[in-house]
Amino acid sequence: MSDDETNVGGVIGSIGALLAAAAMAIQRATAEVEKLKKDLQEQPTIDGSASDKAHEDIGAGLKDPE
Amino acid sequence: MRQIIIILALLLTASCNPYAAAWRTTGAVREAGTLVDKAIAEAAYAAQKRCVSKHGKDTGPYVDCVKGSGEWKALNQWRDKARPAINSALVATVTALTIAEHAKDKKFSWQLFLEIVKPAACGIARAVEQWKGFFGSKAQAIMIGVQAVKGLVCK
Repeated sequence: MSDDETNVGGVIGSIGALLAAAAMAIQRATAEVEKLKKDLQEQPTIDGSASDKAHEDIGAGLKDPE
Repeated sequence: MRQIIIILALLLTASCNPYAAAWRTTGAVREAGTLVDKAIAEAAYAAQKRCVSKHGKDTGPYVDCVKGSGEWKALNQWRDKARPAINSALVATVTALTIAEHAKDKKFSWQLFLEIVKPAACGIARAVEQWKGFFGSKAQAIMIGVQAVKGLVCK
């Protein structure tokens, strides 16, 4: 095998490795979006538990002052 | 060589999916709304604490203090009006995205998406603007989520 052939093989190998890494990153990002999509479809609204709890906690003390 | 072509095809397919950006944006808007909810709750607790230290708990002046506070009014406005409106807009956005993505026509209009997500994102922006005095440094963090909606103009 000549030096040129070795270099071409190396370049192709590097491109392949880069593409594979990029493909893996995209696969991960796609999985994240799918998870987010599922989550939004199940629960599209704001999590209002904090303000609901505050309203309940504070409101309880406003009913019958001594 | 065949593997490289397959990987290239994968990359091309992934980069051509505009729905991913729309889902991420919708998620960011919902997250910003949840942050508003937490910030408004914290502000209300802070007002309560202030009123307790000033008037003691379960006294008439304490009740007047809490009820008269801007934080308590904001909490009620948020729960009664702003949050339900934002939630309706979020439900509409998620429904529209789901339908559009399942449709045979895979064309995606970012402009149309902006119109659909706008009531939710602008509702949050308005809430932050209205109550930023209660949110302190959190206001900026919340707005980052709304600013994820690129090209959005709220009036």
